[in-house]
Amino acid sequence: MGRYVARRLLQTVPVFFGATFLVFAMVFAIPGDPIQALAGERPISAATLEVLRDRYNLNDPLLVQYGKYIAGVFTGDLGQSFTGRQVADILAQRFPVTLRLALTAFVIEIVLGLTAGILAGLRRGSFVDNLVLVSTTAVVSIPVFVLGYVAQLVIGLELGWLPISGIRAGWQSYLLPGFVLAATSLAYAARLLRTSLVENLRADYVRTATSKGLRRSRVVGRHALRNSLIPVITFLGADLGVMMGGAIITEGIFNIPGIGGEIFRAVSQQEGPVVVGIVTALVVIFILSNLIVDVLYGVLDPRIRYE
Amino acid sequence: MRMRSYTRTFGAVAAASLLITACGGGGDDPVADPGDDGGNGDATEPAEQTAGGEFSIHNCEPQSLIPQDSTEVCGSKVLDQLFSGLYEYDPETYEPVPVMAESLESDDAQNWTVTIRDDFTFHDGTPVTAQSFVDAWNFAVDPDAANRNANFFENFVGYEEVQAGETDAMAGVEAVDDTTITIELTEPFSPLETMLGYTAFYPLPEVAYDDMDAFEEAPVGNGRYQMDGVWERDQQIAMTRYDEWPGENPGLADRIVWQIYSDINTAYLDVQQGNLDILDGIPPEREGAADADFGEDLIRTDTSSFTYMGFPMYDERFEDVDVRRAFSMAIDREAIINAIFAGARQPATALIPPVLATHREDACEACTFDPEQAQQLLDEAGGFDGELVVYFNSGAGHEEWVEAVSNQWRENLGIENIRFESLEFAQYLDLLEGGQIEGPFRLGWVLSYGSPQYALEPLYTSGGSSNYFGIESSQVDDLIGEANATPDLDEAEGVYQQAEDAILEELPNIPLWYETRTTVHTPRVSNVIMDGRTFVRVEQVSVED
Repeated sequence: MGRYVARRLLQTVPVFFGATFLVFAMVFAIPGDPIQALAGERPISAATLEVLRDRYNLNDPLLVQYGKYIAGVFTGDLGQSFTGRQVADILAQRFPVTLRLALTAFVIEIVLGLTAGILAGLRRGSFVDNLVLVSTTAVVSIPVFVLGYVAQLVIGLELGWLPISGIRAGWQSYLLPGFVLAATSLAYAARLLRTSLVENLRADYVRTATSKGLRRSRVVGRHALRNSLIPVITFLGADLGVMMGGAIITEGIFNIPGIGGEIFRAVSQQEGPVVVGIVTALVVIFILSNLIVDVLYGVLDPRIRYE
Repeated sequence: MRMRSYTRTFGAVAAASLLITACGGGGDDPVADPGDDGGNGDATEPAEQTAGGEFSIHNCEPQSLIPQDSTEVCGSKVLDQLFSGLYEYDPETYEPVPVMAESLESDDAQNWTVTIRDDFTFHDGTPVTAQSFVDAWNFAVDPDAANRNANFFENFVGYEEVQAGETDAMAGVEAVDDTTITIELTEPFSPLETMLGYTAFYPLPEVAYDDMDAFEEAPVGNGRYQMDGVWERDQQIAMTRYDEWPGENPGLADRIVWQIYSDINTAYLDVQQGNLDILDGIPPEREGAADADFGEDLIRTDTSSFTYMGFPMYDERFEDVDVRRAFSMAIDREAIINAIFAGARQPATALIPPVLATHREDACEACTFDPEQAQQLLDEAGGFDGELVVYFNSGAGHEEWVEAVSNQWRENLGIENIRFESLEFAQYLDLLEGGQIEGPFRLGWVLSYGSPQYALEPLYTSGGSSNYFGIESSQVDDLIGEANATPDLDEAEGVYQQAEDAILEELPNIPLWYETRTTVHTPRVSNVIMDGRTFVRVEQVSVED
């Protein structure tokens, strides 16, 4: 297992260079002068423009820009945004916020999604099963931003239960956006678990376990559920990474100062170093969460081995 | 302390400045009518303004909080409170009102002497001197500092040399003593007084130059309000009243919190929920419902934000002024404003915006909707051949109205072959800069300071910094030069109007409309006033509880 983990971590090296260079090249490909665009419809002086272009290496060809950036990264300098902020500071300030949001959503997804999936799977055809089917279908078919605005209007404005913007109210601020961010994945997770559970409950090994006279809770908990969770874990693992990215819309609607808003701003203003910094961090999170998933497989099903 | 008692009687001063009759102020008197906002031009009973309290107001994330580098409203609004310049702008008339300036004198509009007050201090207690201004201005121009407001000093003697890196200080600016600054300009410029109120001209304290990045986190200014904590990026900027501020009309509220939003829809809901007190500029799609949502707590203000369709006059198909006139007269501005902006625009009938006293409602003849004459003019000019490409920048909400304008050209001028070219802003500016536009293009202009000079010179003079039309008229250049050289401001205004007429003769662009800004607020604040720069005058806002 140790060698496996090490090998997986080594894989991040080409992924790191590949992803950062790709992002750099894409930002580079956007036409137009970003410095001038930042100043808006009013021109800025030629000398100022030149100094700024030079400061951000915009006069260099793509490879040189990328080389300078990577060299900076290895000396601990992630570069700076066009407004003069250190990218490292931006990441340090914004990432925890998005992470908190994603984790809130993740917990909501696990608690609600798995509960709904188990209830529906165990009582196939019952009222609960139908309720889960209908409600998950509804949630999946509504776009996230619509769900966000409706949640704001109803739960925030009409009922006044939860804050609708910012993070000033502490952990409660994360509940509503967390739920909206989790909604779609929650529905998928519930349905995935339901299907998987229904299938496993019909499997031979479950019949064997039942006929051995094991209690139902043990049959379901130790045997059926354990096997049913494997595809769900795969999904959840990939989903944590997706959530970090999906936060772009949710953070915008709920005015959460996380990486979502920043990456949107940075892309539209062609700030290579900022985009690369955020994307790199996302890539690392994605790799790590998938690594955890793979390790978890081994725990859930000892037959799965990687050596 | 004398200062404190002065603050308490501010109610009367604020009301008087609004040209509304008010009874003598006194913070202890009961408030006459808490529901009344006493705001812009309403003929209702004036409410009494009281000092004290705290409120929150919407803002966007500033790009910079260094005055010499701040080019956009998000930063300037905040800096306007943290700093006091030589002049500020009257919220009603947009005229410059002296703050730190004692006097400004010149015989030829080229050599100026500014005398400043000696009783202002920065928030760290150090006095504001003539040198504080001179150093800040030289810093503004310093190429290594790369400040985006550098070119506001273009007509100062020595600007070129400093920008070229030959010297550190502009030869044309000097602090003669603690309270006297002399300014020498490269050519006469009568609107200097108005320009000196702009953000780029604020003074900086010594401490700023030690570490400009650290300074930006919590700027130490000389304004009515001082920073309370640091700039919390993307979240908020809090400020408290600076009680040592010696000027007229000190701030009313004890504390102001600028809450930073990325989506104004969320801000709108927050005002409804009561989590935000003032939203300056509601989402366009709320225009229709805002009256019902907010009733009395809503203010509409004219702004200088000007939208136009420019012509590439270097393209031969637009060479004939009658073609350009036809394009302008074929647009029913009123109909588009009602259909797309729910009425929240004011049709443009001039190039000098309605927020200025120099504005004339009937300056632009070709701005009246007259489809028949438009068609006739176009026919006589030989019609329009080929494809009409209409340019605008994408993702900024221009799609709908650009399409509506184009539809009117199709209907009223019979131009069937229309194509849209929508580009990212950076690329868009590149095309404009390079003169590679082949059809009418959308752009806007907002006044940084309230002079007709700023509405005309950068856009329409030969080689003007924002002259994307390629208009080169010696008549226009001469008239604007003449107006700039006229020391008497009233006299100069007439000449600016002549220049405006000369430009409208040429019609390098189609004036479309000026934005009307809708501001909403909670019932707990009153006296919410927005000025011509679209800044809510937060120092005059009164908190009810």
